[in-house]
Amino acid sequence: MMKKHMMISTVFVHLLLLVVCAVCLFPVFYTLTTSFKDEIEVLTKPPRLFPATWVISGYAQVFKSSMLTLYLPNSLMNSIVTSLIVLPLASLAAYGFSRYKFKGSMFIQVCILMIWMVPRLTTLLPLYKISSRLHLLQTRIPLIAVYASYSLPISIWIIKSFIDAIPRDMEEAACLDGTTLIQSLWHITLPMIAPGLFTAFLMAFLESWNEFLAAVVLISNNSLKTATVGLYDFQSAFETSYHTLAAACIVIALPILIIFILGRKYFFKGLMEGAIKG
Amino acid sequence: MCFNKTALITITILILSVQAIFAGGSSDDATNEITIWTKYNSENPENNRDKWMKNTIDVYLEETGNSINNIFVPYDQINSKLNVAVSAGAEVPDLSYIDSQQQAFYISNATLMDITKLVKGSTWYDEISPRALGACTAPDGTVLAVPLNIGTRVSYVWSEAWPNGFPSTVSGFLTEAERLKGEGLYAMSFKASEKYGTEGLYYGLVKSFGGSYGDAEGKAAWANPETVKVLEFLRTLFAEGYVPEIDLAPGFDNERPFVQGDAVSFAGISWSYVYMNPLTAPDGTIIDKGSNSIATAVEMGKMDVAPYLAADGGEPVAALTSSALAIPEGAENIDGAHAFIDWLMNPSRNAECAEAFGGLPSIISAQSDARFQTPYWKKVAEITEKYGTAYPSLVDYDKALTKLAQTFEEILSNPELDIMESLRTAQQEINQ
Amino acid sequence: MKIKQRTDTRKAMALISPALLFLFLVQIYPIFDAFYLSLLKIKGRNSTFVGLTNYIHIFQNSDFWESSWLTALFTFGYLSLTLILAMLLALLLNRKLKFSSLYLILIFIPWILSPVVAGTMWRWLFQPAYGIIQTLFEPLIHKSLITDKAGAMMIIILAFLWQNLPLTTLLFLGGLQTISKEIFECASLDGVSGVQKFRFITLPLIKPILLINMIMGTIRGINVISIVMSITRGGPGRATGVWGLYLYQTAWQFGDFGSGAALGIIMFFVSVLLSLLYIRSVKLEPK
Repeated sequence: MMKKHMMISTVFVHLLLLVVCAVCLFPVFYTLTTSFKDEIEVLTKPPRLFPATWVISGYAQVFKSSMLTLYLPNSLMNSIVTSLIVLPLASLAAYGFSRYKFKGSMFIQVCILMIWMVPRLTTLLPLYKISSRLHLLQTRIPLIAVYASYSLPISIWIIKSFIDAIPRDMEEAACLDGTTLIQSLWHITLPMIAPGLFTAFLMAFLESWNEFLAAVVLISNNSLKTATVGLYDFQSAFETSYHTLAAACIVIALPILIIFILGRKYFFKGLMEGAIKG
Repeated sequence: MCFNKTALITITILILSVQAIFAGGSSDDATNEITIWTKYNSENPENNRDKWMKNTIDVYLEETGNSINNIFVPYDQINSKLNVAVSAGAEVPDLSYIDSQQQAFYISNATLMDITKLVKGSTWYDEISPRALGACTAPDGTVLAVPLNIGTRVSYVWSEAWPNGFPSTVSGFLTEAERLKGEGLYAMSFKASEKYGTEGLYYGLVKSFGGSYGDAEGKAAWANPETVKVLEFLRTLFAEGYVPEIDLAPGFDNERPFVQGDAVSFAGISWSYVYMNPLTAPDGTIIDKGSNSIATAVEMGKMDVAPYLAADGGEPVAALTSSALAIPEGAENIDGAHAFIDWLMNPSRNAECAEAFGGLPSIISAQSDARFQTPYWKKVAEITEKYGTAYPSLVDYDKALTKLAQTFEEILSNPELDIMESLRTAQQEINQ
Repeated sequence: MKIKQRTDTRKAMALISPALLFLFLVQIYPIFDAFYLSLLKIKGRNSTFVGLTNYIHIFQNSDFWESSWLTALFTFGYLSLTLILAMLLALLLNRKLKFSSLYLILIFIPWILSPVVAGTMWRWLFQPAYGIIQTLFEPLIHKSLITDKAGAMMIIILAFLWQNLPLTTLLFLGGLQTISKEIFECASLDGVSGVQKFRFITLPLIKPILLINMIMGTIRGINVISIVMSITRGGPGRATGVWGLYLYQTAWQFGDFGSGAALGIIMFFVSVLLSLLYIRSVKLEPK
């Protein structure tokens, strides 16, 4: 009796979760099917879930544009460089906060956290002016600097929570064995905080891949446009060709989806640890 | 000492990444290159305008040896980005596309250079259409931009649905609309939301009823009985279902019902034809001739071009917009910009450009070019000549029209709202 | 001991200062700059110092208060729904069923999408006449949602909920997993019902996480812009003109940088106030 009751409730929970997943994925799914429709079929009344004939004219349109040759590579470049700046800076700071107790440590940590919450619109206009004064508007530098500053606080947070979890004795023991601090960092600390580093990397990557507002404000050069800005340009050019827009959406989302699925374990773990222990 | 090593590694990584960043953009020092901002994407040409831009850049390089760096900025950003760049003292283009009706905004922000001398001293000054030049001239007579062509507000009409012809007045329209509703068709579609909406049918009707958006000083003055009458008429259209609700949505999907043949008239602008394709007539005929679809439909007799609706006993109004080029304050290569404008303003190039944009040429002699002798263009020229009207010169143009658009949308979506009261509140807020 | 502390401080500062310097240059200095801008009246290339005039005008403007009300409505609407749904979802996922990690991955997909991509998708779903969800509900509501005041607000709330549900759920789930099984087993033996278990055991134990979610969610809510920009652009009328959009329009579209900067400073102070609340609630004391 009890067992049967359990089973029914398990089935019920599965069903419920399936419904939730279906609802969450529906917009993505519909965008995917729309991307295989043609110009006339996207506007049938009533709309159809699946295309009557599957065509790839939307994708052809996207591939014909600079999306693959310029916008996506730009986004990739920005994301990677941002991560490369964020990780070392964040690791050093996290180690400093985690391993040394000093006056003002708490105050500085609070300040860093508050920086994470600064409304992005507040700083964009001054950043635009500063960049123009430094003649940087024709380069990637302002955008990458802004992206790094968006991701740095949370990265410090996540990595710190991983370093906190390593007993100090382990490093000290290693030091006594005659290994240098750098060796102990490399052989003991680094492997243990690797999931944290990877999470921080993913967060920084995702953030700069998806960001739109700063990109649209700080870029005024064709060759620097990112994928999200490219999509916005598309919207103005293909205002009503939804199959093309849908295809562009899929093309932009796909790389990040793959990275997310490959790194999901670290990602989930890192986020939970970061938020809860931090 | 361990830290020094760590720091060293960090610095190395930083230096490497900084180099990677710098690799991205490089500024050109070539003196004979000009940078221009347009709404036309010459790198990924999609429509006639994009193709024209690309072709022009190629030909210009070929003929003069001077190159053009065209930066594509979407239509909803180009005016604001230019203004931001100028006021921040950032790198500005040598030449930029502007919409002529925006000029009050540019005047109040001192964004554009005074090019009166340049225009008046040019070889093409005598040939330029006064209507076009007027659209680019500030109230004090300063010329701020060079008009490339004239866009005229016109109605596109599926002829088969209007056996008695497209009505000229609002009351005539209401009778026909009721009949069309019975046939399951929308009588009309038009852009009813956002700033772009207020520049379209709303303005044509307000003007035709004898009202206005602004006064002589550029202050908002839309709270008048004429505007109220127009809004009452439009409320009826939406309440009775004569026009599709999509007209009130953001974006330009309002073209769709007409393109699909679900709506049998469309209050647009002469350059709508560049975008409206492929066409499906109400009887199901598909016309897919790319950017020439509309011209083809007009030649086939399937489609007609008519003036906007007018007040009973009033004249229709066709507001004129010029696509124009302006030199922003702070531009570096003014001579280069000047040379390009001179090159562009010859009759045959002007005709070519106008056709691609979907406007009438700004140079008078170019208007007799063979390209503009088709039934479609003759009709557009006739409407322009007869009913052409300038846009109001509102100070804070964008702010005022955005406010007005919001007010219109609120009035249309809420039938209980007092029209005059809402208009007056909005007007007071803008004039503060 | 004292010496050790001093060298510790020095070492720590050496480690922290690069990050600190970077954040100062890119985030803190611009805030001061924004404050300075907010005291100016900027017209083209000329600017005049006007003191607090911009702030006074903002507070006197009914558009600002309407926008504030919409921002509050939006934030409250999306956040309360997100918290309730995320909590339920976390409770379901915490039952350690088969496939629960697969479910988590699927639910997470909306979160990794760019707001612009998400916005494009949602606008299409609710397009009058051609949108699939609009068509689905058409027989029930007889009007188009995106051109309706309340409907448009509902759409952006749902879209933002959809994007933020995953992270909120994950954090709740992380909190639930720290609660030891034994507590529940004891409670079960004592014959405590499920609802009571949630009310008296689960909720108090994950209260810190709830607070984190609440305050991070509030800050995200009041700073929302990209997704609203790509779905409704603030319309119909001003029905979805939240703070972020209002600032963007004022500064970038209308070219009134002084007022735009002032709005930014106001948003900054509201965010700081809320983040102080956040920090107090999670208590940053060393363990």
